[in-house]
Amino acid sequence: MMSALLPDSPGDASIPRTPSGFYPAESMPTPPDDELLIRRAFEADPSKGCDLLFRRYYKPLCNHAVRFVYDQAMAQDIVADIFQSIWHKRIYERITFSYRAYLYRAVRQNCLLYLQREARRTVSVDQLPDLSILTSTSGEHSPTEDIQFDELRRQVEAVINALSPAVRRVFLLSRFEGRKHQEIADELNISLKTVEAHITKALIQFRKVLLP
Amino acid sequence: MNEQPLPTKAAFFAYFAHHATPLERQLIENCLHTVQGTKAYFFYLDEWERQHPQFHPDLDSAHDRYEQYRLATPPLTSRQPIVSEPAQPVQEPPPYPWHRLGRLSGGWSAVAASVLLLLSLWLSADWWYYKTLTNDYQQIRTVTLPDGSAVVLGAHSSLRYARYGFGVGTRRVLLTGEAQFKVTHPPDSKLFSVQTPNGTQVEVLGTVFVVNSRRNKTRVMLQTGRVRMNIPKVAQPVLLVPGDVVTVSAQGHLQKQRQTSLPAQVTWQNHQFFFQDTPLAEVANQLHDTFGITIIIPQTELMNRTVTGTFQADKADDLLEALTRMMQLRVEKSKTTYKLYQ
Repeated sequence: MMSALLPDSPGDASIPRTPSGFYPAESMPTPPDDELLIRRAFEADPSKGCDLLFRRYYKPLCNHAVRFVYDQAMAQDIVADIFQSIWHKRIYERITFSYRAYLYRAVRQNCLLYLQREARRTVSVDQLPDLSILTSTSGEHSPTEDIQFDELRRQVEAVINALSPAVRRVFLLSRFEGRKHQEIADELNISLKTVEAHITKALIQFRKVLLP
Repeated sequence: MNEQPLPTKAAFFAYFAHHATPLERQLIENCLHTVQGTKAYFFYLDEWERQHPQFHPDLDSAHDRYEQYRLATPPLTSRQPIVSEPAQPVQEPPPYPWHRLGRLSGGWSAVAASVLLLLSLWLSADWWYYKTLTNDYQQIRTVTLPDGSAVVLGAHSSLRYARYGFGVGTRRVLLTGEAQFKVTHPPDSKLFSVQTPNGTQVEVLGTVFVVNSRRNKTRVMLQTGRVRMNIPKVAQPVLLVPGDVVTVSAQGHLQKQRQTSLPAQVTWQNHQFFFQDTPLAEVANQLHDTFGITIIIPQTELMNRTVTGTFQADKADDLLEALTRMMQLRVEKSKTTYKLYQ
């Protein structure tokens, strides 16, 4: 619905340019009042604003998180935690750039933290990304970071695809579906030891990617 | 200022699906340098995620939980600029808390004071975190844990559990010595687990059982219900059914037997001793554990003589007297030790 408003090809030469180099407002990729409703709601009643934000972005954010962590339950926890701190720490007051950008970036950062912890790497205080920059007015915070996250997502996917079919099946049942090892063993008619071996194998591959 | 045109929606979608050409990728990387480009990036990312669902999280129940959270947790009142990150749900506690502390407070004296405070807190952390109950020799008492579970703590044993917040998360207790547990199961019951000094862990699935962790061995006797034992050197957990007695030796070896006359095994709470073909050496150990007396048996063949029977004994002397009469032994008693001869 929203995409219908958008030009499929903003690069079209027929669109006139403003002196600043940007496209005029009517051809901007995102409608200017895209998030205005939510912003107004936050001004009137923060709780209502949180409500709207949650209803609008919870599902796609979970979807995005699961591409990194491959664990449905963990993905939902990560997203829920972000929304909780938006309310509790009054982050909604400081998001001036874009709620969407903030949410997606926060999800990515927290997924990365989770993955690093999975790979048994302690994250020191200094290494922690400073998420406060996400709320700043400028969208020009390290663009390379966004790229790196896409790269990480690609690597995670590549690891999953490179697993042998048996290992992948066990791994996805365990992590993505959150099943117990014994349940997987019963369902696939294999021994508990095999299940554990498969998961270990998969995790070793992940560690290689995450700890270069 | 970036003069390049914004990438198309198709380019973004190809990029998210990892099918983009190097040229398209370059274009997208460039566009992220601009405000409009960044907005477009996240706009299309959102749209792409909505069109390519990986699973279907339950929005309504998650939404209810969020609503409850907002009702229960008011926003922070301080309007300070952000010091911490907005959300670190899976972050481990920073390894060096004083590192950050020092940065904020400045000044070495403050750092030193904080370090001292942390150190003293750390040294007394055990006291803050845990409540420890210790029984003397001959003492037996019944303890009710905050969750309502009853523990009969044997003589010369100690039990440690979280002082605050017991029952939030795992109900974990640490046992040195011997105790019988009657675990309650409130509706929202959390896992109850008993840890012993040799690392064995007994997880309760509903139940009455006795744990004995003396001499770095752990013996678990199950009366009713089910428990699971996690033993450091045994990969798979051991499941116990009523009547099972599992002994984990100091070397981590596992022995599982079935006791036919189980009730007698656990009568130590009534100051009764139950022996069944028990070598005298083991009897001496039990006397030591319960009463704190040292028994020396110089003759090897006497050590291996076995005892069978149930003895009522409130004091070590009672039991020893019964034993010596029955087995026709001779006792040499000094201040701290008893010597047994045939």
